[in-house]
Amino acid sequence: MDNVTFIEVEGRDGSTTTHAIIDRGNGEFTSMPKSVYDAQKDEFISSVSTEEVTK
Amino acid sequence: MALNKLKQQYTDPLQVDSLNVNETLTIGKNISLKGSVKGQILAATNSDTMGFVEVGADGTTLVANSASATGMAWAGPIYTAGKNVIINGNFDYWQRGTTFTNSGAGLYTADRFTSTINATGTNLTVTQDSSVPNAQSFYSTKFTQTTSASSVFEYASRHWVEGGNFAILAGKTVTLSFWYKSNRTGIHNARIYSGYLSGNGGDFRGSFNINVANTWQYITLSTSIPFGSITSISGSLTGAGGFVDIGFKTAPVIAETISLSAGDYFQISQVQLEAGSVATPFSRAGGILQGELAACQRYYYRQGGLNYYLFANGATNSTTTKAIFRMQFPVPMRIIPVAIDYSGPLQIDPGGGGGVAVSTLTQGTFDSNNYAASVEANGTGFTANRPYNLAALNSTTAYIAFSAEF
Repeated sequence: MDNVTFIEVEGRDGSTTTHAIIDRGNGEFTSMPKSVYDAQKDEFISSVSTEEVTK
Repeated sequence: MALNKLKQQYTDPLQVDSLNVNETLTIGKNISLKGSVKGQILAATNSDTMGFVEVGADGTTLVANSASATGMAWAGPIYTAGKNVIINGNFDYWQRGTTFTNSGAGLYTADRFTSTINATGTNLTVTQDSSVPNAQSFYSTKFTQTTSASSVFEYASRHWVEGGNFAILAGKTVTLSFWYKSNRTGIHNARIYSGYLSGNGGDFRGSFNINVANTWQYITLSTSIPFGSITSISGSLTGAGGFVDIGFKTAPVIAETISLSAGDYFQISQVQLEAGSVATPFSRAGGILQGELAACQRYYYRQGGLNYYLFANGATNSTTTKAIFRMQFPVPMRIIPVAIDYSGPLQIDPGGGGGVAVSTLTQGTFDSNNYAASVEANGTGFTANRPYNLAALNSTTAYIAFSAEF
């Protein structure tokens, strides 16, 4: 299971964005806005559900 | 050749002095001009002689050729960029590495290839392999299950296809071809899913039989599903159009599962999906290597590999915790990258030493598009308002990558 931490990053306009930092476990990391991370998680769950329906 | 046969059958050669347009020549006997094998073509070789164009090889094209007795000859196979909608189907590019342990569902391996796994006890290793079916490839991809697995509902390599690339197949019969090798004889599966295209996209689930273990077999599957009934497309040009799965098992219509043993594997090579009902010889989607790499980099781009690889020039802002860099992509990406992959150690360096370690990288949301990204290096102890380089810190394995994958 990936180890995910969330960090707050301040943008040039002063707004704050939360980013997900995913530790792949071998010194490799993936960084993405938390909104993207959440959407990908939802999409994965949705695609699994869709394929389950076809059983 | 055919006329000679005709003359041998009739002692008085048939002679017609003249025949006007729209007049009909009627011969009171049956005349049979027969070839000797399927696919021969009868053609004029001169003003009063005929000859056969002999059978062409699969995938070749008949072209005019004045040097040939019949004026025609088989040419090719023609190597055509864009015919194949599968990018990196020859497994030429592996930007992310060449060995992937415990590659769960959805993790990319060779460029453009991921997996779809739905089973209990999957311990999957995906590797670049030098076993190939013929001299047209350097590598294949190999999926190996390292422990036993049960309730395997789905276990396959997956290739996502962009909407615009799938749309060119709309309304057509398509043919999926590839080379496949496995230790498991019996039924394996392939699936073509176009359901992300609105406009009556569908789902083809096919199977093929592996007769001999551990031996490359050429597989072709032709089908009017899922594209044949599509008459219009209203999906996104750059969004997901669908996918192609190949492997031990693809998701079936009726619930059924299989079990796998430790060491079970499958390998695939020269994957091609094209319009038409006949598999033609494999072509890279991008034509030559340069085109294929650019096609891959539309979805994923990685750089690094030198001890002090210089990724970009930039500067800190008014804080001591952030430096901002602009990184240009070699080709426009499919969309604004959705993620940055990186591995350290990374540093920001004012030049000539004095580098400071970078703890995390994030993509600036303010000024990134599909041509270039704003990358923010986060850490502590930076000097505010100072130019910096973003570089590897004595590591050939440090890298930064951008993903615009599905």
